[in-house]
Amino acid sequence: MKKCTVIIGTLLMGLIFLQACGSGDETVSQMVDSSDEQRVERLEDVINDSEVIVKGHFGKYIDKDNMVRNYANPEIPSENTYTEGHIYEFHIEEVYKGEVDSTINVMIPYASEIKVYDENAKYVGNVMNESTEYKKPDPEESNILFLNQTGIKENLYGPGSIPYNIVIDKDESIEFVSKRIEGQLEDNVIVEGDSEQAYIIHEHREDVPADVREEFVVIPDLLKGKTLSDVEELLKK
Amino acid sequence: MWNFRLKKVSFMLLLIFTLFFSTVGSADAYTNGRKPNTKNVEVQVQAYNTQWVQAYTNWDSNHKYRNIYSRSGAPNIMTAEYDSSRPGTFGRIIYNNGHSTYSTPFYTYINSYRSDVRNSANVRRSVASHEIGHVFGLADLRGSVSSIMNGDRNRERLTYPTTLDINRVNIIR
Repeated sequence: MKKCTVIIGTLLMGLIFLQACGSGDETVSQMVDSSDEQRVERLEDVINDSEVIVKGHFGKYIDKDNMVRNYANPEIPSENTYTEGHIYEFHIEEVYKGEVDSTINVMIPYASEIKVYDENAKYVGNVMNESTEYKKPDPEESNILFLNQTGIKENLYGPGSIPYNIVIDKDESIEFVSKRIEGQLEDNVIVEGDSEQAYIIHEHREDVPADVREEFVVIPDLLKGKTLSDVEELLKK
Repeated sequence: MWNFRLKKVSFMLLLIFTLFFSTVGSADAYTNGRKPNTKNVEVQVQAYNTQWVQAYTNWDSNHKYRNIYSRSGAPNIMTAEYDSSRPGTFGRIIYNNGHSTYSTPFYTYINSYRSDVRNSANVRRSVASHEIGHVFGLADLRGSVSSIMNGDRNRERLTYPTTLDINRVNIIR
């Protein structure tokens, strides 16, 4: 019996040691960023939500700006929240919806800033989390964009829906740019049970150690079984 | 005799492991594993005041264990932002606390980029009620469940927490 007590005692101490080692992570701030989102169910939802739908290609990078603005006056940037948007020229080959010039400026969400606090809610610094819909524009690719006027500046458009950017490959295969579409989920997207809720843990281990849990809804594969011709036909209706 | 002891030891080990792993990082499906770090949640409302106040007053009258009220200079911010990077988002909450079990202090906003948010007080109230549900530890839900935490809800019609939501926050405490 004494032998058993020794074994159990040793194992218990081992477990306590393991738990203590695990709790070394407690210096890593555990932040959460959660959104109350509408889930788009069909491609028609994306079309209806967008004022402007165009095909073309990205041109030169122009500038960056905060995509979060004063709630009553979008010309003024938000004082508290920062999502970096990258502004590119977009050269239009075809307009499916809306009235636009042959070249417009499009601001695409790049990354959101999260203020990090420690376990005593003391501010320790900022981290940036890349948007689930971000892909650096490639001028060689063709895109179909679903857009809205941002209201920030004249002739500046932003996403009309999420997702908003279809990339057309050279072989005319099509894909929405997003890390959270069924069938093309990024490896670090964790779906909760059999629900449509999911999250990514953005791990930061350099200046400001933090795990940011970004919660969102998984988007269905809106292009499933559709060719470029099918989509264009739908857009021209 | 040795066999019996071995079985006893194995059983105890199994029990210890079960207890150990069941206490690490688990959370029920309807909870987000967080709750306020104080009984009283003091908030500062900066925009869309009417809907935020209506939403938190309703929660306050139904929550048995927490109080929520306005105080100038409070660290918990309820506001609005024009977030053009998130056209599908009605509201957003960020917990300004690195502790994995606390939901306060927080920063939450209603997204005025959406025209339905700008045009409908019901939608704003629904979003405000939803975000406060996160403060009290409720997680997002999907599907047909009647809950203010359901992302698929009709925001014009469902503007306050349901009986299910109230029962759940009172279980979480």
